[in-house]
Amino acid sequence: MIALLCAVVPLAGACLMRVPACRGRAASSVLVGTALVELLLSGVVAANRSPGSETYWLGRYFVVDATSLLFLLTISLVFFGITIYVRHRITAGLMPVAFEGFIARALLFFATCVLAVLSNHLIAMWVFLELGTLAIAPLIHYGRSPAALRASWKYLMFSVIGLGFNLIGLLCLARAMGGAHGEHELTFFIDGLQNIPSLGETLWWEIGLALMVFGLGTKLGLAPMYSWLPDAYDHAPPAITSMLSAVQFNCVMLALFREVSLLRSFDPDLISEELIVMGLLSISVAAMHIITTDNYKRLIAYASINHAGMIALGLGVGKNAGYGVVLYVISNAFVKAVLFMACGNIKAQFGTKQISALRGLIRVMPFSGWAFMLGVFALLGFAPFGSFLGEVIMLSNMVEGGYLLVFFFICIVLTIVLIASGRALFPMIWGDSGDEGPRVTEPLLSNAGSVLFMLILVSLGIYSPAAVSSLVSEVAATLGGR
Amino acid sequence: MTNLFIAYVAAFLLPLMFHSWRVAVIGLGVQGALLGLILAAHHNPWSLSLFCEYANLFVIHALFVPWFLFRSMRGHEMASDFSLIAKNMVQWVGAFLLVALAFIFGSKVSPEDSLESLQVGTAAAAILIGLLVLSNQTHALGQIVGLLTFEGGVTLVELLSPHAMPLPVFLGISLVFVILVLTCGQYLGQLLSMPANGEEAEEKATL
Repeated sequence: MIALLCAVVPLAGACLMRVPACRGRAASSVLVGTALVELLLSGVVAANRSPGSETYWLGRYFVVDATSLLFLLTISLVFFGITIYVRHRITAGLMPVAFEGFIARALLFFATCVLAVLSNHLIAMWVFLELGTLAIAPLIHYGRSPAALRASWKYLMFSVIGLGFNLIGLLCLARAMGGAHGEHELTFFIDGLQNIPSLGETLWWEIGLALMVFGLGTKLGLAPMYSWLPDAYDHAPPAITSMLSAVQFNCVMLALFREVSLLRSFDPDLISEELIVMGLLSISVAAMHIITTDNYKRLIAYASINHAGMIALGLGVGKNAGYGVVLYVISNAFVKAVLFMACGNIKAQFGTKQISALRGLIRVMPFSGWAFMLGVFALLGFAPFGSFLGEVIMLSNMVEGGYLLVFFFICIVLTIVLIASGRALFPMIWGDSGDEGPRVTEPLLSNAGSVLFMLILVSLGIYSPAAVSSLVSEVAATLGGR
Repeated sequence: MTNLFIAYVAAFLLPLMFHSWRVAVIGLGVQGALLGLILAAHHNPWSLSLFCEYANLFVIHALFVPWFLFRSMRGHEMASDFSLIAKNMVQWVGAFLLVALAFIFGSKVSPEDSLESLQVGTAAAAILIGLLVLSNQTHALGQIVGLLTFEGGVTLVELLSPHAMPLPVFLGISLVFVILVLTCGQYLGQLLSMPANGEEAEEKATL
C-alpha cells in the first residue's frame, strides 16, 4: 500500500495549494517537499520489492512489478529535478504571480501519471492518461500568448483523438476475445490477459492492434500524427515541456510496453512492421525538420520525435533489443529534462529562442552552457551516456535480426541529424560573436536537477548498480528481450 | 433498433447541412439521447452500472453538453454562415462517401450478423464524420463539435462491447468526458476572446 501513497502525496500537495499558509513563496517549498517525499516513497517501494515479484492491491487495479517500478522511479526522479528548477524560477521572480494554480495542476498531473504507471487495468490506465492530458493541457499556455494557446489547444485535440483511437483499439480487442471465449472470460486486467489462451477472432484483434498502436503513437508524437509536438514543446514553459517530454512520454511509453508485451506473448513478430514503418517515418520527418529549424527548443522537440521513432524501431525489431529499448527510454527522460530546463535558462537570459542569435553560450552561462552541451551530446547518442549504450544495443540487434536495410537507413538519417544538429548548435555553444556580454552568475539551484540527471545518465552508460541492471533486464524480458 | 441507428446517423449528418452553430450543438445533444435509447434497446439487466450509464448518456451527453456549450458561447458573436464542413458539393459527397465506406467496413467485419454490421458501420461513420469536421474546421466551436461527434462514435463502440466495464472504470471514463467538455468550454472562451489577427505576444512566463 506504500505505492498508493506515491499517488496520494502529490494529490495532497495539490490540495495544500488551497490552504492560505501554503500560498505565495511557501507554495514552491510544498512542491519540492511533495516531490521529495514521493521520491523517497518510490525508493521504499523499490527496497521492499524482491526481484521477479508482483504485488497487487485495491482489487488488482494496481500493481507493483518490474515495469511499473522502473517507470515509477524514473518519473519520480525526473519530477523531483523539475520541481527544484521550478522553485528556482519562482525564487528568481521569473514566474507570473498566482503560481499556486500552476503548482496544483502540475501535482495533479503527476498524481495521474503515477496512477497510470501503477495501473494493472488497461482501461483504467487509459483513464489516468487522459486525466493527465486534461490536467497539463492548460499549463502549456500558462504564458497566455495566443501562439501558446493555439499550441495547447492543438495538443489537447491530438491527444484526445489519439487516446480515443487507443480506446477503440482496446474495445476491438475485447470484441475479438468476446467472440472466442464468451463474455464472462473477458478482462482488461493485465495479469488476466496474460492467461487467456488466444486473442480470438483475427480480424478484430488486427484492427484493435492497429488502432492501439496508432493511438499511442499519436500521443508519443510519432509520424504521421506528430504536428502537435513541436508546437506544444516550443510554446510551453520549460518546466511543462520537461514534464511532457520526460514524465508523460514515459507513461505513454509504459502503456505501449504493456500492450506490446501482452500481444507479443501470442505472436513474437506481432506489429513489428507497423512499428518499424512508424519509426522510419518519424526519424525521417524529424531529420528534415532538424535541418531547417532555427529555434533551439524546436530543434530538441524534433529530436524527441526522432527518439520516439528510434524507440518504435527498437520495439519493432524486438527480440534482444529489449534491454537497449528500455535503457534508451529511461535515458531519454533525463536527457530531455536536462535540455529543456537549460533551454528555459537560456531563454530567460537572452530572451530569444533563435539559434543564429546566440554565440558563446558556454562562456556567458557556464552552468547552463555545460548542461546544454552535455545534453546535446547525450541527445546525439555520444558515449558515455545511457542513450549511447541503448542505441548501440538496438542497432546491433537490428543487424543480428537481419534488418540490414533498416540499419543502413537509420545510420544515414542519424548521420544527417548529427551533422544538422552540430552545425546549428555547436556555434551556439562555443562560437565567438565578439559581443557576447559579461559572464552570468547562475545560482546552483537553477541547474541542480540537471547535475543530478547527468550523473544518472553517465551511470546508466558506464556502470549501473546490480539492482538497476536487473530491473531493466526484467522489463526487457517482458518485451521479449534479455 | 435499426431505426435508432438510422436516427443516430441523421443526428450527426444533418448538422453538416444546416449553416447554424446552434443546430450543430443541439445535434450533439440528440446524439447523446439516441445513445441512451440504443443502450435501453439492448435490454440489459438492471444494475448500478447500468443506472450510471443511463445517467451519463441522458444527463451528461444529451443535456449537459449542449447546455454548457450554449453557455460558453454566450457573449461571443458568431458568423452567420457558420458551417461544419465547407459548403460545396465535394465536401458533402465526401461526407456521404465516408458514411458509405463505414457501412461497407461494418459489413466486412461482421458479414453474418446484420445488426452488428449496422452497429459497427454507425460507430465508424460517426468517428469518420467527426474527423472530417475536425479537419475542415478552424473555428474552436466547430472543432469541439467534431471532437464530440468522434467521442460519440467511441461511446457507441463502448456500448456495443461484449465486455461490461467494472463500475470504477466506467465512472472514470465518465469523469474524463465531463472534464473534457469543461476543458473544451474553457478553451472556447479563451480562443474566441483572442484577437483574430493580433500580434504574437511574447510568452510572459519563462517557467
